[in-house]
Amino acid sequence: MQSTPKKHWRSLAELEGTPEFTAALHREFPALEDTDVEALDDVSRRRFLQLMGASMALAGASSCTWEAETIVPMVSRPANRVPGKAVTFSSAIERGGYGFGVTLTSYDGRPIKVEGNPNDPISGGASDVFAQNAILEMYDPDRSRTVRTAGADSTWEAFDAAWNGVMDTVRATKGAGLAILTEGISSPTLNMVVDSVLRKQSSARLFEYESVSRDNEIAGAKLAFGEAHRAHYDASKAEVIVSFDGDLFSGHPAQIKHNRDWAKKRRPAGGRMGRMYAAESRFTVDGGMADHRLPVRSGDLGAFVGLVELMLAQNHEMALPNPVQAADLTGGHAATDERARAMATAIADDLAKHAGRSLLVAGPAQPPEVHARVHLLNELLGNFGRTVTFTEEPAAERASHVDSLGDLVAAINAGEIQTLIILEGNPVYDAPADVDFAGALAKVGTSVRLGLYDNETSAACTWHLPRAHAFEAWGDALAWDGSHLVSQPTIAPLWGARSALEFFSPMIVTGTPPTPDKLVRQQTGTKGSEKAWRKVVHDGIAPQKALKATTPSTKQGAFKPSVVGDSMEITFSPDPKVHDGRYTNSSWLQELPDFMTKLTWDNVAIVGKSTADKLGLHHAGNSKNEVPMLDITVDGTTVSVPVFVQPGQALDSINLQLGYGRTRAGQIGGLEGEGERDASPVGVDVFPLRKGGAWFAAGTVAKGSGTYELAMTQDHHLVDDIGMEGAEDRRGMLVREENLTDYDEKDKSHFRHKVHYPEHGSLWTEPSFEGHAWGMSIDLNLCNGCNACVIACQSENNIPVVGKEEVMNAREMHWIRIDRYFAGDDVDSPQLAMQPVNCQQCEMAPCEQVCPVAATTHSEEGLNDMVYNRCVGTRYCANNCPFKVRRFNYKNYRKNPVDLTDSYNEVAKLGLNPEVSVRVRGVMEKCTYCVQRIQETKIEAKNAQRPIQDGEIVTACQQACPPQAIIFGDKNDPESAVSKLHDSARAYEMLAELQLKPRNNFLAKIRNPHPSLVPAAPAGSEAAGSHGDNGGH
Amino acid sequence: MSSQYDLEIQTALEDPTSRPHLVMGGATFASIDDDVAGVSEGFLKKTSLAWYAMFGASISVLAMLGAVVVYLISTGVGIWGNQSPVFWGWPIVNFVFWVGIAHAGTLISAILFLLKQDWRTSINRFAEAMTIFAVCCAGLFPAIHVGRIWVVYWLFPIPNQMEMWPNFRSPLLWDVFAVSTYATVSLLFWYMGLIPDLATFRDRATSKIRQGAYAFFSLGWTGSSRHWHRYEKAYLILAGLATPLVLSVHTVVSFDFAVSQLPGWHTTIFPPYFVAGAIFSGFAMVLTLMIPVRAIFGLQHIVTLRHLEVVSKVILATGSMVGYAYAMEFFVAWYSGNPYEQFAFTNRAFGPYAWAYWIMVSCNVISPQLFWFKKLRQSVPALFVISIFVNIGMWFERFVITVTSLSRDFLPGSWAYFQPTPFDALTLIGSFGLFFTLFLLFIRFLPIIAISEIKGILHKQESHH
Repeated sequence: MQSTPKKHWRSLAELEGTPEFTAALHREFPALEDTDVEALDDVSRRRFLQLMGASMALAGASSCTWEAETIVPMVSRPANRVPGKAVTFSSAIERGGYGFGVTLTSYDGRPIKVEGNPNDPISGGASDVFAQNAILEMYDPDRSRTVRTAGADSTWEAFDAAWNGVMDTVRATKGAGLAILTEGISSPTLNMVVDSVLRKQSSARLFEYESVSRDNEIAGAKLAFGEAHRAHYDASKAEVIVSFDGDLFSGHPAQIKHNRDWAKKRRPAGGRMGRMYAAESRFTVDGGMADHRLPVRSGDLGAFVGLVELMLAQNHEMALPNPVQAADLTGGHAATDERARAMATAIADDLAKHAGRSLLVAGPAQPPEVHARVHLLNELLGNFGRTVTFTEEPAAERASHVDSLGDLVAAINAGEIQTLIILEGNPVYDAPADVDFAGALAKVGTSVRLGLYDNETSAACTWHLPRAHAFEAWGDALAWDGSHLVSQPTIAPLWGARSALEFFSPMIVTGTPPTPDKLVRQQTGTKGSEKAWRKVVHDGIAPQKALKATTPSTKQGAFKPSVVGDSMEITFSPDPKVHDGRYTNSSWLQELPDFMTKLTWDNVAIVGKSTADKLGLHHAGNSKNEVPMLDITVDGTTVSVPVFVQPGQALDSINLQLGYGRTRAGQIGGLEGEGERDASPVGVDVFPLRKGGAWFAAGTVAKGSGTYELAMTQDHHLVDDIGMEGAEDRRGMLVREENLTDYDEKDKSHFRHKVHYPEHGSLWTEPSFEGHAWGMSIDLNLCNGCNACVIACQSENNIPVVGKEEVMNAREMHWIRIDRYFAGDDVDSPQLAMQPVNCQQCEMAPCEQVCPVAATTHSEEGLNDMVYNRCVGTRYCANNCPFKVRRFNYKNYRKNPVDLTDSYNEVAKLGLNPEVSVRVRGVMEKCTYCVQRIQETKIEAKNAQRPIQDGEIVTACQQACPPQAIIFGDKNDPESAVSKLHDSARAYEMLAELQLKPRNNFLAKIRNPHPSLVPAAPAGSEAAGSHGDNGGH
Repeated sequence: MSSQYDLEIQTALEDPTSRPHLVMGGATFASIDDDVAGVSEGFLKKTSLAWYAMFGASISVLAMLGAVVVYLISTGVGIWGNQSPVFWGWPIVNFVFWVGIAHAGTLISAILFLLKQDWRTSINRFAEAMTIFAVCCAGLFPAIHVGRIWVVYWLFPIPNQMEMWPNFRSPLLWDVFAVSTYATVSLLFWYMGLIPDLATFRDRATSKIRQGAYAFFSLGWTGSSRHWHRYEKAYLILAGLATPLVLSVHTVVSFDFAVSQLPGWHTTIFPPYFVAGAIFSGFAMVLTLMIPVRAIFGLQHIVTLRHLEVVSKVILATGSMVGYAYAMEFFVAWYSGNPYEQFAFTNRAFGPYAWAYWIMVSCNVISPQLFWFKKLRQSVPALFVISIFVNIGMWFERFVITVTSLSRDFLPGSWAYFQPTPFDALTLIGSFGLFFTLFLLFIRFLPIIAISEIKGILHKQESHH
């Protein structure tokens, strides 16, 4: 890779660079018109292929490092390669030090879609928004393209020359003055290489920093067991889950597995179903999934854990060593609140009844003492070995991330560090506010950052080096459960970047370093067998788990939880879309509606209703979503953030999301000082408030000046009282729900909307469907609102992003959206229901009847097809669609908000799915049930002369869905999963009284409240229960 | 030719023993010719600065419309405020508004002709011209509001290589037929009526060009008995053909809404309610235009106060029907027991668009009720002001129906508030530019009052005495 490329030439004319040849080249390859043809003379063949691949998406150009020797055009086609036919490769991505196995669908050497790797025990084939986003990230035009130094573009050659000089000095002193700062790394190969570097340069030092980490969990385990162990949860064995500020179902590295496991307990059968409690300060997915949720400040949660323990001791004679004292729990909101006591009593009751079949979880924001106490409770309740198992913790030995970065800064300030290598990460942006990393970095003689993006930290380094994307290089990673995931390159690095392995490996040997694939192979232990190695690469996972199981037991310490007292609590949380800021430049994620607030393109200060009343914070009162600003002060630093009043936010707790307000992310997330590509930062940077990596802190707030306009995809505008009432009235009809005790599995039509009089008839002969009849079932009991389906659909179907302005104009394009409804009278602690809505594929589709040009018609299989080419754009269909799933291209969204036709941005087009038309301005579009996937499978089945198996066709949303709430299949096959679900007692059609006969059925939400906490009249169930008797309308 | 005020009082007197004269001031055949043709010929002698000023203003606004349409086609429908769920916004509101206005002309010409309402002769030409121009404005909107205007011809059943018919189930397609038929018949009817008067203009012409042009368009009319015989027959047939169209076109326009299943649209009351509303708005527009024109060109003796009063009575009647329809919609929504329907109407009157709803009610229901007072029916300023109110109210009626119903339909998750952009306003203003440009050209070049028909009633008037 580092060897000087050979000069290749095709003819003497080219070699000499005659004008005739140049002219001919332009004729042959008009796409190269703008490219510096002269520069091609001395580029490598590989670079040439990249350019060709990038500009023309050449068929058959399998340009991955794996088979880098393939030449275009292929004289004889390699085996098993059909041009235009998708191939799937296994790969892996890593976030925050945890790996995630993925598969990549690739057309002609061009990966276009990420799915979860079914071989990865955590993924099981499902994925999350970050995994789905990886493909957009790879083709992001703003990804770093060149080596940079001193604010100007440079070359690898220049860097290599300079670096050799630096390394000579480093080697001479055995690494004195050399420091390596990495992001969280799980990769065994990379860790091995870095360890080798450190062994060779024995005075060199290693640091690691992640602004969002699970260090509290590790510290908690150390506190509980004396040494770090990693807890693994098996929700499928739990009858009761109690989440204390937990991130079990979203954010946790194994969340997909948790979702899948818990789903097994959330399908009511035989009158039984799992029950979940959550206590948390902000509304998280865990809280949304819970049957009972208690809003309580993060800082008071320890007291609530204590309260639960107290109730176990008082009511259920559970003997605890060093029991918590009631007197120690006072002071915060938790222990004094009546609701909290009632819920703690109910939790204790359930825990006592379900010993060994319960699961208590504390979230990463909770301090180590709380984690330790939760471990203790789990052990005493007999959950160890059943719902909670342990393995060794790979990060057991390292210092906490905050300490590590602090040590580095101290070392630099002490003059001990002259050379600093930074691998990814962005500490200039996200370092704790009281650690002056930027100041320290300026003192380092040579600082080198290898990163995907040229970000804030890169700009402050002497050298920035473009890092190859995970899909462009060999690599491996450890998943949370210790699975050893292997990733292979699926495309040559688009911008001539190097992977971390390629960067570090020359430092461990003299002479030519081993190639990255050899290094990875060595780690998988398949050195001897080519076959085994091929299988590992094929599966994306090595057979042995890297983490050994352990069986720790808790030490018995005293527990005196701390409480917040009377001050206002400010909590910091990783954003569910941009995480800690690393995905800030993703337009998909920026435009993704937050699962709870439905907010796009911004972060906000989330304030509860009562707190907002207390502070006098209200909407500006006009028809726009103009909100006041809130000046938030922590330890003397003040940041002004727009206010978002959110039902369910704990009293006196204000949540801020990290990852916004970046100034060097790119054209999407914010870029300053780059001329015409400049973009103003999205949202507000709240890292300046976060001292010592704290998850929550006491602060003061005051109403700020001015207002700010937010872009939401639901409640686009302020909703008045009439609207609220109207929405509340119909919520029970749209989202049917009931308590488990009222639910009768035998009453097959209980949730279905019946119209008794008059009998519904049809104006014309209804179509019949002889062959396939595609249908979908969406289980409202399982959907947690995680949004994986939304991004999966966006990626699969080439759905454009429209920008904040257009979201404010209510013109977002998502084909599947998740409607979020609140229920219950308590605005400070409402219940939640999520309802994914895609095209319902009505058999009697109202859109079809009104289209004047027949651009939307019915297929023989009952799909409501949209013929883009025929669409004139009257938009009548969308008016007549009661589900409002149709999306209109009001503008050319390929040019707006970022112009993809611009030559700089054109690379992003490579990520488009060639199987799906890119829609032009002025046409309507909507969910197609992934008709391209249906057709592909039909063709395959036809060629093989076999029937299509149930479950063979998987829609993009279904594939991504962690709890498997979405099921697709053939309704005409009585044995298919979807037929059975449509026949279930929970099945119902939305707006059935309109006689649309939608192919989508929803499965009603069943809540499982603790008997002592059942409200007098459960919200929603009344409407659902009575609709059958009122005679319809 | 004089504009004495006492003259106006006199014609409006209600004397049950005798019908008041429809034309005042001792008009003769020659004086009618002079008065009406004089409007056009007057321009030959002395350029009317006022006309040029108005025409200049109108054509500038029309040019602005042209620029907006070019921008629209190059950028997309997104320049307007349309969004999801309000996929139809101002363009469709404007379309229905103009189609409604287009109703008065043919109603006056055809239905009143068949009912032998002689008073129509003073205003029918004028109203027909208004109809044609309003249809032009109306036709503009459905064409430019589609996403891909370059394929808008797919809406017509033109044989093509795709062997594709349009979808005959779609009310939008019915609309295409209804509006284009109406435009064709209205144009023919108008032109038919113009022929004798064009011949009069031809005969009075002093320049070669003018003579040649009118000669061409008057199709060799000589006024022979045979001509008159054929003419009367054809006029009667066309009147018979046009009559059902008056009712059908707005019925079909109302189907755009009524046939869909959107709460607030899906009601059977729409066809009669829309037709009444259309006549209501059409007559109001006749008043709005007629009042200044008769004052400027001194035609008070032909378009007398009595004419204006009759028009105001029609406005009162149709305004009351519209008011009844508004009330009935609420009743039916309540009586239906359909919660979505009920919500649509509560939301209409008290939701975020309550302001629009109450503007509509004030202008359409309350303001015409003032016509119960004879004093106001006979006060030209009051007639003018109320007619403007009705025009505003009828625009808001379409806004209320289109936008408020769409903005909050079935699923609360999709609700949104519609906000127009400056381009919405410019397109609406621009359509007035188109209307007034055509209208001013009409005044400049064509007989604005049906000379031959007026002459016909002059004769009757005398024989009665």
